[in-house]
Amino acid sequence: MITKLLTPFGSLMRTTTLRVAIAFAGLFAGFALLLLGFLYATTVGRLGLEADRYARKELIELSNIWEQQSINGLNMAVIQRAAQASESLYVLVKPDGRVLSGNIDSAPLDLSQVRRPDADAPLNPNAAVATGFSYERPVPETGRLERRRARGFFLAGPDGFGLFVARDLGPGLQIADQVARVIWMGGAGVLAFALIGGFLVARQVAGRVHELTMTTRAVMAGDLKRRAAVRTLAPGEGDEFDDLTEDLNAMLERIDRLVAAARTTGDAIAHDLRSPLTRLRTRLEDSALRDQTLDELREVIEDAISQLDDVVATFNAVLRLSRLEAGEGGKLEALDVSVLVTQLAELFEPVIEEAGLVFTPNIQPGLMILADRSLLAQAISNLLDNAVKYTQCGEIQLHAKHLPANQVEISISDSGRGIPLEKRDYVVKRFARLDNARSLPGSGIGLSLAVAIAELHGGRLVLSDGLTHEHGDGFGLLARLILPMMTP
Amino acid sequence: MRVLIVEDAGESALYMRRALEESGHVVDLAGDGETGEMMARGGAFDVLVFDRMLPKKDGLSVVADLRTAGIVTPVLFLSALGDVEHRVEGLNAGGDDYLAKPYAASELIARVEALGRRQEGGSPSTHLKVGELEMDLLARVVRREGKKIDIQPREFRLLEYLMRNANQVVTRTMLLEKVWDYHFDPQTNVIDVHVSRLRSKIDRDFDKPMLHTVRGAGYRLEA
Repeated sequence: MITKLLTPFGSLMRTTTLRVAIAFAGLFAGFALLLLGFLYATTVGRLGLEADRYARKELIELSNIWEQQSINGLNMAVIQRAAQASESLYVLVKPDGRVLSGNIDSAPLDLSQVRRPDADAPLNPNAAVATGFSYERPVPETGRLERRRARGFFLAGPDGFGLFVARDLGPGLQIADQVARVIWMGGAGVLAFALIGGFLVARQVAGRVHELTMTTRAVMAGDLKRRAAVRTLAPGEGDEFDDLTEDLNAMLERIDRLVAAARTTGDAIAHDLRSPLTRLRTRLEDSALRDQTLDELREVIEDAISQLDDVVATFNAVLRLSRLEAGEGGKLEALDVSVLVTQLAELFEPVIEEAGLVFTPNIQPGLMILADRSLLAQAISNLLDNAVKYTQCGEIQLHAKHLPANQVEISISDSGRGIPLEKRDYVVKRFARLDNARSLPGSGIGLSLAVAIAELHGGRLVLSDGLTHEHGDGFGLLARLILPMMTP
Repeated sequence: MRVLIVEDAGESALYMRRALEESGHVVDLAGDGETGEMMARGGAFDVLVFDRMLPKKDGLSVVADLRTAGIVTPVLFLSALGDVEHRVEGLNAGGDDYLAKPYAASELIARVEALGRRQEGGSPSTHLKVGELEMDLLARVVRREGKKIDIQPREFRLLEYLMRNANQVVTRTMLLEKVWDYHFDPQTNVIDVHVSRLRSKIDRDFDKPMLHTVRGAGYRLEA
């Protein structure tokens, strides 16, 4: 139970978002501290200089009095000044270290460390020892003791007396201290807010990443059908996570299709190549047992070779199809598709006429598309092959024309046996062959290849009713390759 | 013709050798790319047949190096990789023709012989003559025994290719590749129909047929 509660927090701690939030809070606090320290040091330094200047001025005045009126005059002056001054501090110390007069308890420094000048040397205020210290004094209004800071100088006289003059750093320091305290507390507040905000954002982000992670894990575990949940949004409203989710789903969709295709290819190859290979094997075995004459054997061998050639051709077609569906192969270049279709019309015209069919090509000139000539020729040739194979009598039309919306259509329509409406989705699948076509040569790959090639060119293959039969009792097939036109 | 076959699959190299020798050619074998390159540099071959995947040095690199070294002997690539891009790679590396495995022996022989003849050909002529059959490439006129034969442009290109390879077998695939520039197998017999149309024009009114069908292989135009 506890681990159950802790785990989300633990995993939250590992999120980048929270780390970034903490790092920013830390950086901010560090910078604020630095700024504060600088501000404080500058203020204190400045106040210290002021105090030093004032204390030194007084020290010089008093040392003059000391020199002119000796120690008694100085004592009088210190007593006077101590009585009236509130910001200046004085102490006059006797040679035995006791305080003679002044307004603080003692000189805030170790007198034994102070070097005494020689007995006959003159007073030298420049040799005074400087020091900073803190002391306590009552606040005038409340009488409460208050710790304050001051800076001062100690001047040792040749007669063993010592004079300490100092100046309170003043109310400026109190203000600086106040400001520092505010900044400290504010900084702590900001730090706390940054942490809480970071934690909340991290939890929000982690939740969305969690969905993606769970999806990828499920897919890795073999569930190729799993998709990440998509939020319903108005168009243009999604953030980068919605984009990522959509891309992930699209990627999974494609992988799923490829895997499925690979699986069907494997199955279909096994199925479709096994039957001709079995047939071939039986034939050879039978011949080995029975056939005697050279002519008989030669006939069997030639037959076997031609069957093997068919197997290889099918195999190559399947490989090519798989590569196309995996997005490999095909180099698109500017191509005048009118020229290509005209050449193919010339290639097929004799064979169509020889089959007793009327051939009507109608090709608009100058249709430019981005295409792989060899592949597109193969697709069109496959469709023409089909038209010739499945049309007993009547006509084959080959059209190439410009469609609105910048498309080019290459269409082949025949008056053959056609494909029933409900079978049209089936025939574009690999190895799909209609029952009445099984007796004819062919691998069942042609239309799938045409579809894959059309898709490679960003287009599609559309099958619909073609020309009416001669007897008027049905339709042939109309196959249309619709490809995007090249935009200049 | 002297042919060098560079192929690491020993058995198929031996079959190739036998097929070519039966057609009257002299054949040397090499089993890896480096030996093949050394022998090819030695010269005196009319045609080089290179497998693409060879031990020690692959066929593409060997041929590219030979071409850099100025050796222009025609090269036929053999490869299990039959797709168009692979063909283009082979031709870019300096190959002259490309044949995908598995292939028929007749196809190999026909292509090797076509490559060897091209070497002999020399300067491009404007006039072709095979026996009594003549072709003027500039005027685009065909005559047999002096009689003008009416011929369509696509038949003209087909006949030109047959005449340039006269007395040799040319296969259907070669015709589709060299005359029409397509690299796939049409399932219908498109080429046969074109050839039989051409045959009806050049042979019908004459006693002796010139354009023969070679069973299991292709066609041959004979003087």
